[in-house]
Amino acid sequence: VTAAAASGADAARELLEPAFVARLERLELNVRRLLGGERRGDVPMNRRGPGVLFRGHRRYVAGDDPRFIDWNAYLRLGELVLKEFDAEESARLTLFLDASASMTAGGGAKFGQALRLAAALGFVALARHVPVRFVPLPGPGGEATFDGKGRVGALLAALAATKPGAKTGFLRAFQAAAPAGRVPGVALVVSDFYDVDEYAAGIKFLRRRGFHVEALHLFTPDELRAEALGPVLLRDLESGRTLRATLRPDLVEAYRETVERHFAEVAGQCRATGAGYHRLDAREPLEALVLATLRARNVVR
Amino acid sequence: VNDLGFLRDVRFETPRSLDALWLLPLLVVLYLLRRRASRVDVPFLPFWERVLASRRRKPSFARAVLSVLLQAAVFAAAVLALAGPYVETPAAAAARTTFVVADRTAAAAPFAAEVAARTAAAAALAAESGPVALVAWTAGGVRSVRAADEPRPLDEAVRLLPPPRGGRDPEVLARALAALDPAARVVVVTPFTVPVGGPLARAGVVAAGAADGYRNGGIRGATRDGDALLVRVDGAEGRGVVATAPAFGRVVVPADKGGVVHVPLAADFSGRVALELDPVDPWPEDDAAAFDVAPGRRIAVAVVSAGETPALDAALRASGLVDARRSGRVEPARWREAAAGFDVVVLVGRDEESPLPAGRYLLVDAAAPGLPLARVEGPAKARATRRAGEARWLATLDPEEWEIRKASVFAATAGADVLVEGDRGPLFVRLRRGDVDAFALTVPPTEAASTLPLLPAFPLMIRGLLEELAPAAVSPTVVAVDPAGLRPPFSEAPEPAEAREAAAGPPGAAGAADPLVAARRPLRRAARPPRRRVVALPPRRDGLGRQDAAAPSRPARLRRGSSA
Repeated sequence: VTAAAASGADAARELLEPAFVARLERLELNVRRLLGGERRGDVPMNRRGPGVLFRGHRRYVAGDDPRFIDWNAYLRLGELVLKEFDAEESARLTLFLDASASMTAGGGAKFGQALRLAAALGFVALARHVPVRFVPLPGPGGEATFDGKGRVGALLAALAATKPGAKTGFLRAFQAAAPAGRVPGVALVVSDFYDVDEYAAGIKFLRRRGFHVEALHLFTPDELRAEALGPVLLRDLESGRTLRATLRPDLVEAYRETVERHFAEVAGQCRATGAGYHRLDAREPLEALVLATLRARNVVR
Repeated sequence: VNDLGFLRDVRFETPRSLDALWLLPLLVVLYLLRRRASRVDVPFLPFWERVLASRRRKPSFARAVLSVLLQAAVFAAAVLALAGPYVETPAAAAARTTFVVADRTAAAAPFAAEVAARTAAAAALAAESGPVALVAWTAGGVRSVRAADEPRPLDEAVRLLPPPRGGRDPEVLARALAALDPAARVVVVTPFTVPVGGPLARAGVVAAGAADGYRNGGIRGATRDGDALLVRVDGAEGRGVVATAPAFGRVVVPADKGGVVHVPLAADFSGRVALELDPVDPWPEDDAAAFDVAPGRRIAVAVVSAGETPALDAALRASGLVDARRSGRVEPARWREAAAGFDVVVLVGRDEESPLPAGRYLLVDAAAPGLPLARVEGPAKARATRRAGEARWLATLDPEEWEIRKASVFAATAGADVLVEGDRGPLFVRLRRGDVDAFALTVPPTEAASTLPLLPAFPLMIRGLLEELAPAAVSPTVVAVDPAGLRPPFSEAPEPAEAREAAAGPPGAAGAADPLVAARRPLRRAARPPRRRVVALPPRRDGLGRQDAAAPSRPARLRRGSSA
């Protein structure tokens, strides 16, 4: 236990800075509705419903449950008003982290940022007592579930132990992680979405299972351009295949356009299936990504 | 194989150029050392495959080898071409004598040693490929010195070259070159640049890099200024301009300062003036020129005015047509007595009581009986409204700029040609009545009276009306002959296109074409000479113009021609 705790502390220091952790504690996942049936819990939803967190008043209309009439207000105002509360449900966060070799493109900055991003969002969930299930892609294997704030160190240690290197396989990993009958929840997919064959089917599968899906698409500007011109040996990071070519500015530009088209396709597929899509520059500081970008896009609040 | 048999007879004019073929292995080495493909890790190769599928040119070993072979072939072809290959047929070989011409004229005397050294080098080089004839270009023409086909006797023959003397006549050398067998090679060793357009150039010598810093001087143009012919010379420091004409014989004017030389002429001189720079320089074609000077003289103008007329005086002076010595003011009371001595009389602010005597007049705020113009009212404000005259010299006058603050009102009657009208009467009128030829300006020539003296059109108006009143006073025209082709006859009418070409001037002429020259004789063109290869071997000189004996010789190819 002591060794595990020590390794968790090291991982925490490596992935999240203490000052940033303090700011993360004030955040929570912005979940509006979980599909696949409501289960009462203690995670406030961003909507009205049964709960204990007071949300506000509204005028009473015929048909409202008279149990929620605010009689004190009636005595003062002579008007029937109804008390409303935030819905609170039981939620679960599934963190899908792409650990394929393509994530190491550009010197590994993308994978490092993916780890830190998963750590930050996992911390936000655990701090709010939302259980976190960590699923490294391509899986299966390496999955772990963490519940309670005390498990933050273990989550971070699991993240730190994740090594990239395999080939992505979205659909199979999603199917293994979300079998039929399992309670759905929020699914955060942190990936570069270069699994062009399966990513769309995978996202669609999660949506069918009732997950609230947020796709966090990490990229680095280096992916869109090639620094080297002239004769090069192109090597695929995942398959190891090589290709000889002589790069010219027009080829580089055509490649950039192809990748941009792919990014646009990913965004379109996500939106078509009702999943959130967020394209994030891995070179940006983590604080800016979480506290500014993701907060602005209502992934956290 | 038989078709390629001629390859055995291929010779090269500069076989040493073939040494550059040793650089061929360098191409192969460069190919071997070329930049290798660098490895680039990409996250998703299919995207690159997709991009390259349509545009890719697949690099292959065979293609690389073919590329380096092609480069080597191009390089080798270039080297072979520069070496000047030719097929040496037995007949051609026999006729292919190289004539090495050494410049031994007096102008080349300062460079005699250098010329001799370069001549020896050229002769030795030429002897490698055939017989050589050593020729001296000296006073009186071209003189053969010796012919041989071995370097040693040629080396001794160089010592037999005559000492430099006599003038340079490129025509003689050009005629001698033209008389040679077209297959013969000619090497001219001269310290001077060969000007384009000269006889040597027409003989095939079109350029040379010799004599850095040497400046070819000459006569560039001329114009007449009253009693002087202004001759523009270039590079004539220390020389004199000799002007010869039947009317005044021979006049020598030093041209120490260069630029413009004033050759005095009589005021009424007209005719041809032959000019020559003395002494002539190594390229004398442009050191002589002839000009036809048109008759013309400046006019005498009398100004009759009770007060000062500074603006009018300035405009008269600026016209360039007024002879300042014979012009001046005349006392108003006695102007009629003196009028006969002037070409034009300017009456300012006067109302004559009797008709004007015969003559040419400019009436400024003045009137006279008998003329179709009369003063009808006292001074008043007015403005110019319309310019009716079509004269070119009046075109610059903008009536809207001419504001009249105080001027008498005149009325014109039949016979007056109103050139500028105002809202209260004519302002500028052409008057002709009997022997009286006049212009009338109804506005006083002062700034207080109108803005006319301030307008740029005013001096042009004055000059224009003087030219119309006294046509003989037009600016004297000098018809020049192009310095590059100065040979009689001068009566040939220039054709516009050739005149333009000739106006571009000869090479080395620092002066631009003379804008005042009305026409130039067309450049005479010799019949195209037989094409041959002519080479000049110029001695190198340092920045001060001294010859550099230690500098290596570098043949400068001038033109390649076909062999027999």
